[in-house]
Amino acid sequence: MDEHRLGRIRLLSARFHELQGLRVALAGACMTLVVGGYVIVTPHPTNDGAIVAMLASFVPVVAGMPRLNRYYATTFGRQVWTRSRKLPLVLGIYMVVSWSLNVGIPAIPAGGPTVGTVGLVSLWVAIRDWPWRAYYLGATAAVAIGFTASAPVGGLLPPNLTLGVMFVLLGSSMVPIGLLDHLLLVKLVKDAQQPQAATDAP
Amino acid sequence: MPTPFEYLASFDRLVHEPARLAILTALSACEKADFIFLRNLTGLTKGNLSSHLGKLEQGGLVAIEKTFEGKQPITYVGLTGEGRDALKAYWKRFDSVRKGLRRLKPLRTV
Repeated sequence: MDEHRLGRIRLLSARFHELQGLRVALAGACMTLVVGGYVIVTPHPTNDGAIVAMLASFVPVVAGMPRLNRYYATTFGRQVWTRSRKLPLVLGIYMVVSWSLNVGIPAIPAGGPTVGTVGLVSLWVAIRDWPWRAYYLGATAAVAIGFTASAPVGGLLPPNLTLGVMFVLLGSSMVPIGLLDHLLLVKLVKDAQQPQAATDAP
Repeated sequence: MPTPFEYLASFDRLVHEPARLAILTALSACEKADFIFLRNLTGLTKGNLSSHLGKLEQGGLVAIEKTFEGKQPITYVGLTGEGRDALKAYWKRFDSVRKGLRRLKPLRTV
């Protein structure tokens, strides 16, 4: 057995849940459609309205999740992994820091810390799983464009549109990334199933 | 100091077999996984996978757990502590062999 194949098996096993990208694509599509629809249809869209629209976009996502869970479990199998105990703590700290940044520094546009975090996490994923998931750099670029366009200094967007446009950008970058993650999962499974491993147990 | 060939001879054969190494590698990155997942990752047939899992269970490297989700029976397989140690030891030994082989110089034939 060659080391590359073992490396692929390990990558697939370690990132199995992350690569189930249809969930991300569904969430991104719903966010883009609902928030985008709100921004286009409403005569005077506001940032608060964009948050409500974003929360409303979770309704079809929650409804579609059980079907996707069933699809992944029956097609690719089930895997249980140990969740990090530090995650809730990290999320809590992140919420407090991003809220403080938005309140304390008016130059940072609404939602800036969130998109900044998404950009950094995307960059980290691209580097960690290089070159397999290099497409995450696209998400970083989309987020950087959104952030630059909505920044008060030299920004292009009126302040009431900041959150709406950011959510649309975020959602529309989640769709291709989710689909590409799913395709990578399919490709890795296909590669792993090459006939070489069909050895009888001695 | 043992030579690379002595190291090679001392490889754990239960782990070294390619299909079993693939199973253990797949399980090393998670807590446990079901039969379909392992079949997808290793490309083994049902019978072969069962046979290899049986050997690994006999050797104490994996634990097999049968449960139900609703009415559907599911077989979960996870690495035991002993299994994780064996895989770690295998890779350590493997690296020693690789380093040892790199140090060897080819014989000159006249």
